[in-house]
Order: sequence, then C-alpha cells, then structure tokens
Amino acid sequence: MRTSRTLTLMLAALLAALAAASPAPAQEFPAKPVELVLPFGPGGSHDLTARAVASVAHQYLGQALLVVLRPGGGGAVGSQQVIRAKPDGYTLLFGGTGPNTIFALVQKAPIGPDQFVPVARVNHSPAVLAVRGDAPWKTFREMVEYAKKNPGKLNFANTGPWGAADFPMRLIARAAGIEYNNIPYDGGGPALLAVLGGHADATFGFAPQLIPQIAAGKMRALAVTGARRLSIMAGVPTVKEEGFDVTFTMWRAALAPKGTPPAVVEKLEAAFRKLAEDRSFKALIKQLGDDVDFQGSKEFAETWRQEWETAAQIVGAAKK
Amino acid sequence: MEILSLLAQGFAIALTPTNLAYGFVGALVGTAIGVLPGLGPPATIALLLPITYGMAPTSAVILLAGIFYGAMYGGSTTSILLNIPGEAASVVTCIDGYQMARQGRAGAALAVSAVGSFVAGTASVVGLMLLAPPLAAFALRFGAPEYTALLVLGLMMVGYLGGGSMTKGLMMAALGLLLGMVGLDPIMGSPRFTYGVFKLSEGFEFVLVAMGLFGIGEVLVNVERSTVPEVLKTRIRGLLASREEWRAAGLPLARGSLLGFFVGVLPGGGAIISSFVSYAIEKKLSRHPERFGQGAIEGVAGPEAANNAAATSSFIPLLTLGIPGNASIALIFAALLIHGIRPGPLLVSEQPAVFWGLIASMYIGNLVLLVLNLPLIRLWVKLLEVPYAILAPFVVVFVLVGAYSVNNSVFDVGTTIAFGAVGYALRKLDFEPAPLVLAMILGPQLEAALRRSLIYSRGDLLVFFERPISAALLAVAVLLLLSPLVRWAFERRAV
Repeated sequence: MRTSRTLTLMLAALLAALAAASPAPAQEFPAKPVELVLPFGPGGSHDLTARAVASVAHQYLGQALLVVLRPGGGGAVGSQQVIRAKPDGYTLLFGGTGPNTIFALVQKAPIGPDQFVPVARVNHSPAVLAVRGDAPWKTFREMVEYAKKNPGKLNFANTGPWGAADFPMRLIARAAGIEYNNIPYDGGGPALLAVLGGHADATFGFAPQLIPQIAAGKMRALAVTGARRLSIMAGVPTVKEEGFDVTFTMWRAALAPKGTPPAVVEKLEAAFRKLAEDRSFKALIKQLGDDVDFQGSKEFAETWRQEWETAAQIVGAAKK
Repeated sequence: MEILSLLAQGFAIALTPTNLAYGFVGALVGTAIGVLPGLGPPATIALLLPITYGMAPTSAVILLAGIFYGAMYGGSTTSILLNIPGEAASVVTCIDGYQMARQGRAGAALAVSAVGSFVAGTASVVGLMLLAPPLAAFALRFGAPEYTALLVLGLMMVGYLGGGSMTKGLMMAALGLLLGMVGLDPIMGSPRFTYGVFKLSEGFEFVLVAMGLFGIGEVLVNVERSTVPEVLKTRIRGLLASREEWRAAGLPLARGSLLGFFVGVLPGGGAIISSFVSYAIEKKLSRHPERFGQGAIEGVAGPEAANNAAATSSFIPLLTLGIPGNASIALIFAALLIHGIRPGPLLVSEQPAVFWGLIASMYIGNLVLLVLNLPLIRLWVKLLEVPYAILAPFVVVFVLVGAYSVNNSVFDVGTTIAFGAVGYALRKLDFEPAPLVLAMILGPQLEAALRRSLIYSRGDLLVFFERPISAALLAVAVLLLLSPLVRWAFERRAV
C-alpha cells in the first residue's frame, strides 16, 4: 500500500516535471516574462534608462520585462550571454554605443551588428562640450582656432579611454584637423572636477550635470554633438552648426540575438514603439537629460551600420 | 547663529514621522548589507532607487544616504567575527579585529567599532556642516600630481600593515600590484594579462579577492586545527570593552576621525586610503608596535573611525560642487536628478531643505545606528559559541552566495574559491594578505594618476615638485623612508 502510494506520487511528480519541461503550447509570444540583459553594473545612466523602460513595458508587452544585470568585460560578458541565448525573443540585450560599437571594435569583440538583430532604439545621449566659466573661448569655433594655433596645448579631460567623451573628441579633431592633449579620467565626475579645478581645459559632459554648473558661472557649454540642439540647452549650437561635420550620440537599444524569428522581432518592436510614446516614460528620460528618440528595427540597423563604419575608421587610424 | 536656525529647520524636516521612518529603514538596510558580504551599498541603492521615485526628494536622499553610511557600521562586523571584509574599507579591521575575537574580545572590538563609528560619523557631520565650502575648494586643488603623491604615500604605508615581517609585507604588496595590473589599462584601454578572457578585462573584483583570501582562507586553516573551538570560544570578561581598552582607543578614534574627514573629501577611494593610513599612523605612534597584528584595540579604533568619517565627508563634493565622489553617492545624485533637482554649486542655497534635512538626518541616523548596533553585539558574540564544525560550512556558503550576488556570475564564485586556496597557502607560509589586497586597489589608481600627470605635464617630472601640495606629500614620504636611518644615526651617537 505504502509503496504504491509513493510510486503514484513519484509518477505524478514526473508528469508534472515533464509538463513543465515540454514546450509551451503554441501560445502567442510573449507567453512569459522577457529578460532585458544589461551588460553593466547598477546605477549608471544605462541602468537608469533600462529601469525606466522596464517600469512601463508590461503595459505594452503584455508581460513583465525583467532587467538582468550581467556586468563585466566592458559590456562583452552580458552581450555574449545574449548572443548565446536561444533566439526566441525572451532574452534581449540592452545594448549601446559603448559596448556594441566602440568596445567591439577596439577590443575586436564579436558583439557588434553582425551578431544582433536590432529590435528598437530607445534614446540617445548627446555629449555636451564644456569649458570652465572663465575660459578665454566664448564659442566652439574660438576653441578650435586656439587648438589650431597651439597644437597639443589644449588639455582635454576624457571620461575613460574610448568612452563617451574620448570618442566624439577624436571625431572632432579629425574633422577640424586639430591636435590636443588627451588626458583620460575615470568617469564623468572626475573629468568635470579636473576642468573645474583647472587641471584640464575642456571635457564632454551630460546636460543635467552641466546645467547647474553653467547657472553658477563655473562652466560654459560650447557645443552639442547631436544632430539637433538639446531642448533643455537650446542656446548651445551643434558642432555641425559651428561648421564641422560631426554628429555623434551614444544610443541605447534593445537587441535580439541573430536568428530571432522576424514575427517575434516585429512584436517586440511594436511594443517598444508604443512604450516610447508613454508619458511617464518620456518624463523619466527627460529628467535624466535625454530625449526619447525611437527608431525601429530596420531603420536602426542602418543607422548602426553607418556608425560602425565611421567608428571603424577612427579606431583603425588610432591603432596605427 | 544662522547655522543653528538652518539646522533647526533641518531637524524639523528630518524629524517628521515619515522622514524619521525612512532614516531608520535606511540605517537598518545599510547595517544588514554591511554585514552580508558581497552585495555592497551601490548595488543596494540601485535596487531601491525606483522605490524613491514617488517620495519627496529629501526623504529619498535621507533613505539612500542612510543605506550608505549604515553599511560602514555593519561592514566591520564580519571582519571582526569571521575575518570576512564585507567592503574595501574594512579590510584593515580584519587584521586586529579578528585577532581580538580569537582572544575572546569580539565584544570589545565590536563595541569600540560601533562607538568609534558613531563618534567619527557625528564629528564628520559637524565638519560637513561647518567646513564644506572651504574643503570643496581644497578638493578642487587636487589634480593628478597631488593624487600621485598621496597614493605614493599611501602605498608606503602598506608595508606597516599586520604584525609580520616588513619584507614579507612588501612581497605581498608587490604581488598585489601585479594582480592589480590585470584588465584594461586605465590610459589606453589595452588589455593586459587577460588572455582573451573578456571577463578579466575589468580586472579582479576587489570584494571577491578579499573574501577569498581572508574568509575562505581562514576557514581552510581553521578546519585543519583540531583546537579551534577552544581558541574561538568567547571567554566573556565583560561583554563590552574594559576601561583600559576605552582609554587605549580614545586617541586613535580622534586621530582616525580627523584623518578620515579630510581624506574622505577627495573623490575616489578616500575611505580605503584613510583606513589603512590611520592603521599605519597608530602603529607608528604606539609604544608597543609589536602588539599590532596580535589584537591591538588601536588597530580597530583608528581605521573604523577613519572610514566612517570619510563616508560622511565624501558627501561634500556632491553637496557643494555637484559632483559625486563615489559609486553610492553617484546614485544619490541620480535620485536627485529624477526628482528634478540638479545638484550643483548652488544646491545649498537653492535647495536648503535637501541640504539641511540631510545634515539633520545624519545626526539622527548615527544615533540610530549606535542604538541599533550596541544590542546586536551580544547576539554576534553568541554566534561565536556555535561549534566551529557547524559554523565553518555556513561561513563558506555565506561567502560564496555573497560572491555570486556581486555580478550574478559563477565565474566570480570560482575566482573567490581560487583566492581562498591562495589565502590558505599564504597563511601557511605566514604571509599577511592585507598588503596584497590594498596594493591591488592602490596600484591601478597610482598608475592612472601618475600617467595622467605626465600626460598633463607632457612628460615633465618636475610637475610633482612644482606644485605645493604634491611636493609636501612627497617630502613626507621621503622623511618616512629616511626615518629609520635618522633613528639609527641618533642611536649610534648616543652610544
């Protein structure tokens, strides 16, 4: 009696396990929460943006979007995890220019546009070129003139080698034909501190960090690298307006592993498109100093490819 | 008197039932994550950040700041009880704190560290309130050459850590410098010693190395000895510290607080540097330096005071310049941004409620932490009465789960185990692991600062001697190096 009862229980358990393991009946995607892998640690602007996405995503996706942190290797660890994941749309990467274009090229890591299908670009952060409030240059062009007359004299504080400040400055130097002294700092705070303390002349920062410094007269913004002016810094011209053909922004996008079925990508894209219109989402992103800038799968694949090719030239030139 | 009325307004904000509750919760969560190895304050603050979206900005800051400085209180607990440094700033506490625990004085070490944290934390808030603007101006004068000089001085102190031979300490420091090289180099971003493993491109995570070398290493050594239970048994000679112990701890507490307060203002690893510089100073000043490493209360009091004072004063760059000095404070910065407050040079005048509310909450928070931590000491000490055969596996699980929680990575668990084996070997050969861990933290910082200085000066080494602060710091370093020689000369003349 007792044995048979145990046996029944075991059978039942086995059946339950089998049921759990077998593929879900052809239910519509998404049938379970979708994981959004963040290839960085907590707290950066990338993390904050991902959490803003996740906070509204369930309304448009019909399932929760779970942010999973997989930091390490300049973003390569998290990126590779998604590439190796089953291409079923349940594992996405919250990728960006930093890991998936620049790091991929500089470190020759296979985590670029060849390994992913873009789902949607969410936003981008334009970089703001800023100098100390008492600096002799009132405009971007004046600063470039100075650098031209005094090659290598302009001390530029970047926020880390190949980071969000280093890269646009390399683009500008190439377009304007200037030489400057490139000093790497460990992040945006230390770089800004170096400029404020007079240990460097210029850096790139992000708007919410710079606005109070500008209001107090400590810093002056000379140009932004985006295609348009920033809504919260409308008085600051773009680099292009100043006469140099450079546009550069750090994008953030949801990326799926190669081989994800087009129908699934379309579904996800549609959810992200609606999410990008959400009012509370837009407000959160704005507080972080960015504007939402949606691009769909096909459109963004093209943007990314173009960026990749420009970046490859810069990286190639620097490595020589 | 204006300050007093502003402070009174601050207390009016911090003492509202909601803010009081948030301050308490922050202190409680902070203590808990300080005790748990692995998950540090930045990760916890990031997790809790979304909860603060709906709160008033001052409440959000009170909660998050409480987590940050609360963790500094909790961090010493596992260092003293189990030789597991929960965060960077408590590595130094392991050295003498754990030895005290082995001699049955865990209660005393914990009490001195709790009271010391309270005294240092409170003194540092007073300093923050009165001296923030001039100190921020001082921090701005610290460019790369000044950091280089400070780090040179700091690295020299590493040799003083622990009670063993100086030669062995320097060997460990050299090994630590080498381990610190692993990863992308800070100036060019080229990979070094990564052997194509992307996981290694950010270098070894400090917490993992420390938990392995100290925590796991200690368990392995203890498991070998059959006498352990007797050694660890707490002979309760008065649960808390005795009068002599308080007397011995007094001056180190005061010196540690002062040192921590000033070094903590500098963005970067202020808390870490101040903790072991304080240890070195106490050892240098002591009439019985040989007691250090064997359970000297001064070796717990000074560094604990220093790291708590530094945690508080590290708010100064955020509050007066609008620039966060470390990862936790960067998250508090983000919390303010989300609430539409942009911290900058004008924060104090434009948002007095945030500034003074935070200051007042820090006075209250430090008191809460003291009241919370003192009764816990009895409980912690009881933990040591658990037979080691039962305690040891729990410690290992505790450490490995902590290691996994840092990055959710099995690779990290492997790293911790590997460093545990290294820690065991070092202990067997009578090497002290603290210099290794600290050199591993300081090495990359020194390299970056040095190379940054030389890029700035275009290769001119005079940059270190032309600037007054860096010249003065280097002069101290030279004097320190020469001091044994001078003493030797004096002694010879006396004979």
